[in-house]
Amino acid sequence: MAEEVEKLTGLTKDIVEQFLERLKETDLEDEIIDRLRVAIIEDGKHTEKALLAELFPEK
Amino acid sequence: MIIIDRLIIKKFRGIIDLDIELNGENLAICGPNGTGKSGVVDAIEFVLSGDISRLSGKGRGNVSVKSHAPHVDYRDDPASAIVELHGRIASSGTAFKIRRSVDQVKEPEIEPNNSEVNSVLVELGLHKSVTLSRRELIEYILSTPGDRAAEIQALLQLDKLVDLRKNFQKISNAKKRGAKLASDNKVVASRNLTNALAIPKLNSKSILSAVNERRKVLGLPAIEELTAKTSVKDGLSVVASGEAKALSKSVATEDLKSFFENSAHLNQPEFKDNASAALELLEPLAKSTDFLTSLDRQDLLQSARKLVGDDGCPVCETEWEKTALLEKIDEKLESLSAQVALKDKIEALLAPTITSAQLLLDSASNVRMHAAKLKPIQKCSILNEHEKLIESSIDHLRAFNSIQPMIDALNAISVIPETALDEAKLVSTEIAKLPDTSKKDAARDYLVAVDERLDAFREQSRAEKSAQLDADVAKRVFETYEQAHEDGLNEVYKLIQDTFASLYRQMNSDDEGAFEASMVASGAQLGLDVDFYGRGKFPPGAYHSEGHQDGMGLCLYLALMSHLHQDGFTFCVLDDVLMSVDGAHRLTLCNLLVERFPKTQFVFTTHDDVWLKKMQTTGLVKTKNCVHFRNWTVEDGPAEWRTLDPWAEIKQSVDNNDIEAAASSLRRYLEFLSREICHNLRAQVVYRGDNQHALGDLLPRATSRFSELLKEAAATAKKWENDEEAEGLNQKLNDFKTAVHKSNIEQWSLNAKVHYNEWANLDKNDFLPVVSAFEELVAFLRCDKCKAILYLNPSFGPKEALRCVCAQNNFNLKKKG
Repeated sequence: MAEEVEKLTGLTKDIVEQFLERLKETDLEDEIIDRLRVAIIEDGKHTEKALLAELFPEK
Repeated sequence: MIIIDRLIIKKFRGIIDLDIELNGENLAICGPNGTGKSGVVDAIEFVLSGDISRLSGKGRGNVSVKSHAPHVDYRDDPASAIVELHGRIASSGTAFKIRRSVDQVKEPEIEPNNSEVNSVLVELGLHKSVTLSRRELIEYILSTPGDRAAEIQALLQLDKLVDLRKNFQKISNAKKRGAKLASDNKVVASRNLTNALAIPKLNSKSILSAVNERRKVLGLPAIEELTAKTSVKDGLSVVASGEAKALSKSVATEDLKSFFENSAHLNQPEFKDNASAALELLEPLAKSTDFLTSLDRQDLLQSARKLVGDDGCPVCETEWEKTALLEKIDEKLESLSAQVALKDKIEALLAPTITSAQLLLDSASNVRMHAAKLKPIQKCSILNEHEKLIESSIDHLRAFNSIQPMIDALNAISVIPETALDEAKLVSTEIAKLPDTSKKDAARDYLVAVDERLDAFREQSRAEKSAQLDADVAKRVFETYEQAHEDGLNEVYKLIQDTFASLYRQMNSDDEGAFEASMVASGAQLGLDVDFYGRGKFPPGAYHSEGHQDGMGLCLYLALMSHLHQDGFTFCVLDDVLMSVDGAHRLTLCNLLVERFPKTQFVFTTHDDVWLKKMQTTGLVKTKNCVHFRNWTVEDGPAEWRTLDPWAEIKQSVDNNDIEAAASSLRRYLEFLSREICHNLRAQVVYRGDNQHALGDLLPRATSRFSELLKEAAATAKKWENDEEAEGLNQKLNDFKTAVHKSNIEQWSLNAKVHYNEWANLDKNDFLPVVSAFEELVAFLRCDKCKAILYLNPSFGPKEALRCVCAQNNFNLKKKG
């Protein structure tokens, strides 16, 4: 089955943007944050598998 | 969003053929229960979304849109079940038409079929929140904080946020479990290394000290620094690799010592308490398979949830609407939460037990390894068997898929057989008997064993560090998301709570003018507390009446929709919702809807005529936009008073000699008309607390009021020197009085119920004159041209005229001077 994809809009997108901004204040690598942004906001991916792949690409 | 101008329904649900003109204005559908009102609501939902929540929602079993949306007589002809909607896009005014049949649910005909119209329809199809029913109303107010959060977040279209939260949490939990396992493995490797080194505590200084002592014996240079790549046997292969012995007495001695310590640990309270507590929880669960079945079901549901698509159930391929199926799965998952919590508790107790078992297993393995190097070889078959038992026990405890084997496993781990201990003791004795090797041999054996275990320790340390780093990242990401999610939602909830409280205050201004509310998100929960007459804030179900709670549900829904759609909240269906609001506040609710939602087109359904009158009185719904369903038959669907000719129907029943049906129709039609006339003419009716006025309470009042007004109009015409009109009105009054006399209504005031109840006992020839008398009487009260019932203008304050809609009848009532 194809991975569930739906682009975020409105309040959902705003809250995810806030989350990514706050991640920058942690010591998480910028590269990981950028990958999450592309996956969640731009590609509309939000499954566990997709998030896992962005957070831990080598595993 | 959209505005609806016209709705055409054919052979759909309980409706055969219905055409309603809304012209973008509010519409009220009124009629007794079972007359087809909900069919109209279903039709609106169906044409906009292709779905009918009533058929595809929770607990609907084998009922489906495809099979049961057509009228029952046309269930084999779904193509004939059609709903057509003519509307406009509110923001642009673009007119469009959408026609959807049950056989082509997913392919409606849309005109114009362009991106503007399609995007609006897609949005409406995805989010069917424009319809609010009584069932949903209470879910916002009285549900648990978890359910309320889910309902409200779904309505606000925040379901993706909920999915993200769940997924980040799952990742965090999985990484945490991974880190724990890696940590356990490191503990075992550390213990093995410590045994080989024969030092009490691992640190660089003591390791180097122990290692260099042996290296010195072998004439090897001391190692100054212990790095990640240091080999403690560096240089050894050159010196004496071929002479390395298989068994190191000192290492073996330490390993045996460790084995006996690990065995003794099984008798320590620390181990026993955890194992006993886990057993106590497991034993009752072994009596039935319910618990594990619940856990299996949870696994299945979680897997199924990931696979849900547009094609229905991924397991049995039954047709399902995606959102309804996901809701159903979530509902079932929620019902299994207690079993999942119990599993988590048992696993927490098992964790230290498994670690102890793993250490014992590893040290037993070392004992056997040393025994195999003894000459002659010392067999440890019982110990070996017990090792296998421990290994399979650990597997059972980790797998958590069968209760009795887990209980057996715990019992097996907790006791080591004396015979196995005897074997180990024998190995220990044999090792002690070994001649002390030369210092060089002992040093060489030591360095080889330590080097091997140091490598294993380094590998486990790296794995543990990496797993811990992953766990930290996953935890940080989840916690950051959780906080952003919570803060973002609370910001939104603050706005919604203020709008909600403001709407409720306006609706209940007489007794709750200081009403306040607070909505607070916490994790996956949403708390809602409301003020109760200044005594503090409590859950809505704590002190408020059910009517007030329903009022809150409606206000919260309106606040949510206002926030979600802003100026785009242009269409809303309130399906039998107003009835549930407490009686004292219905008028203020009507005023609230008029004042606060002037741009929203409402479609109301109600079975209460009084409610309808309140909607009309407040200007919420125009009289021409009220649809009265008087009855329903399976062959014809709902029958509407304003479109049918009741006299033809009544006479047809008389012709068929069905006097009972004719009498029933006449009575119900007169009841409907009497209410309309009393309302239009402001007739005084005896107050009844239950609003259940009988025909005898209404019709005599209506006719006497009409006589009064005709008389007053004639007198007014005379005063204005309009003799011709005065004469015409006096004649009309006399004719009306004759008609009233013929209908026998005047006698009803003596015994209001007797006369019309006896109609059904009349024969055909006796009943026809009764029908004719009432037809003649009613004709006085209607306009010949526009067919509207005459009414007083204005509806409040000093009366100015008795008139009809088209003004063919327009009798002045204003006094001269």
